[in-house]
Amino acid sequence: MFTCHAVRARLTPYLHGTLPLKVRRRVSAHLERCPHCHAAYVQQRQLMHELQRRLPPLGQPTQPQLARVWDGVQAEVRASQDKSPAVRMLRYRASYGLAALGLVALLLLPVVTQHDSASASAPLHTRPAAVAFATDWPPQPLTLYRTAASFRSRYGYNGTATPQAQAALTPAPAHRP
Amino acid sequence: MDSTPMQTGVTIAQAIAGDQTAYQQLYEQYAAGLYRLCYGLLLNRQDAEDVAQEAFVYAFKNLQRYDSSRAAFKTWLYTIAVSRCRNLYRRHRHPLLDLAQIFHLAAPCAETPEAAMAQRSAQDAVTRALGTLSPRLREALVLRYGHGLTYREIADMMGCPQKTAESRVRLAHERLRDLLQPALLEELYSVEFS
Ligand SMILES: [Zn+2]
Repeated sequence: MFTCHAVRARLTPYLHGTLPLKVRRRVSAHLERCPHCHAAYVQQRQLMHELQRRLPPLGQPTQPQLARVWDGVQAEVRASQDKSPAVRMLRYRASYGLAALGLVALLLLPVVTQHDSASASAPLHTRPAAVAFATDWPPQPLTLYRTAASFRSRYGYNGTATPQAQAALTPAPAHRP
Repeated sequence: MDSTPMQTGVTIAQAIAGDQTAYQQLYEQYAAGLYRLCYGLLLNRQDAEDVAQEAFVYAFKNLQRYDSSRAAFKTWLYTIAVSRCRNLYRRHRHPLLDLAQIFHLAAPCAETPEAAMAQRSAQDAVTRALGTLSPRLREALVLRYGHGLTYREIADMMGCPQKTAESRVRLAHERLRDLLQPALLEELYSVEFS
């Protein structure tokens, strides 16, 4: 036979249906004949309904909030990707590329000036490969960053952004349907 | 919009492989729930936004560490968020709320018969009562009632045995029952049917 104390301690699991069948039956039996515990049970049940009703809508986010958090997530992930070993290696190579370019320019300077003095009407059309590589740096914004535009349009979020941010958020033409 | 664990697994694999839209899919699927969790624990919008962001950033940076054989992605993500929330309330403890204020806000006022007002008061009362609980009890209650999770899931997210999760929910229940006096509870309850 359960005491009142033992029953009170089991009211929540009783309400949640997590008690073993045997224990559940004993609690039920006690509740049927003890008005005090029954009153406590009714109270707990009301509280449970109240919590089931009030807690799920608590802190429901708005779409602008979700969009703001998403922007923050992207910015941070992007920043960390910039610091990743692969990207650092690319930067390392790019800085070497620039140094090599400078060296080539220095070496070519006397030749070019001589060439110019010899025939000023023949401009230099070709660009060393290193120049093309150097102007490709920094790389395109990550796709992860661009998808904020689709996120915004999907949720109709019209947050204000700087022109630079807007430019970065605009999908590349190739991605447009 | 719940996807199966299999679909989530595919999305995660795509994200790890570098598919950036997969990250967005994961975010869209879990962001609202995660934010709600953070708000329920911190009861502050700005803090909830910050922690939700931190949790996603951590998860996205460490996606390859996620082991689907050990936990559902949601469990993993929520565990990260709970741990971040704990760091935050360790840093600045939320002051205990004034009980008199709780009851003042909760008491449906005879001069304002609008049901909406009463509803709002009832919601405020429960929110404030939640704020008076210790963080561990609040976590248990929010995960159980706010997110309808099982005790097993709650235990995983809180990093405790299942029995502890159960007793925390029970203690939270008892604490709230003492806070929200019977008469008040009766009134709160009657709002539902008015
Ligand atoms: Zn009894």
